[in-house]
Amino acid sequence: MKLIGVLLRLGLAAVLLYAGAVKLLDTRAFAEDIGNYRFFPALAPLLAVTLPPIEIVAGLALAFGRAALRQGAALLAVGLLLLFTIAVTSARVRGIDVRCGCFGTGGGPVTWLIVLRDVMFVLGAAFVLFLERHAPAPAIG
Amino acid sequence: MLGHAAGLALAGALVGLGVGALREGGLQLHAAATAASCEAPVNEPSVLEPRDASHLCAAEGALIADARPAGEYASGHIAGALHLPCDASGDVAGAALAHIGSSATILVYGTATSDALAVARAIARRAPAAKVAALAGGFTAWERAGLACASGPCDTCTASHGR
Repeated sequence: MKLIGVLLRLGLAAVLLYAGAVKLLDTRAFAEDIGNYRFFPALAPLLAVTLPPIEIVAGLALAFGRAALRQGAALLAVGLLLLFTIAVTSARVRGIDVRCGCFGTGGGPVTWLIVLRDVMFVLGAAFVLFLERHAPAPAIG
Repeated sequence: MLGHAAGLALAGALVGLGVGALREGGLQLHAAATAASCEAPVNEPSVLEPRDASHLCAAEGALIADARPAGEYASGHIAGALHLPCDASGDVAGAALAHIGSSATILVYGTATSDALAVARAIARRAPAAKVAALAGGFTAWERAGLACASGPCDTCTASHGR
């Protein structure tokens, strides 16, 4: 169980690090993607600049942080992934055909499969958070 | 835990703002919002004075389109102009597109600048490759400038624009 927890946590950290890094490489494209969601277009540039590093910081803290910090990072990851899931779901529900922007420009368009994948990410992150909160002893890391 | 999460988020956001500020071109927190529009940018039609527009009469691949009602067209129009059969700008644009074919330049005129410009914009939106212009001052300005005019019903409306 402990090993699964560590693997899940590192996996989640890797996803966040990768997603943050590819978005950081092309902030402009990410801003465009956010704007296309027609959620809060005025905030798109600000979100495009801040979200990728937040993902990276959360990923780093999840991978290398101490227990308390890891809990915070796991909570942050749940929040971030929930936000992304709401965004892709709303795009799908409203029937707007947008590029996901999930993993940079290579993310492809938003499909129900992506919604499902994001839901799985949220559940995974929530599970990591649960394990972190209920870890009997400080895990390695 | 909540404190840590908030702290991490804040740290990430600050790093992002810092990186954004250091990047080439600096922070552009507002620039991208307009670029996200779905609508293709419209090449704004230019407004040509009658003298400047007159060279289009002889130009290869140019089309002069009259956006006024048929009665006004019949009583006088620019020589060689095609009459756009409808007076609703959307349909006028559609009708014009059918005639435009490979025309590279389209000059639209009406009774004044504004009505021609409205039609010109509608055409430009639907034919982004074409160079669209509106005549300043409408037909009266053209007449006043003593440029080539003709009268009579449009013989090119039903057939294709004979050139």
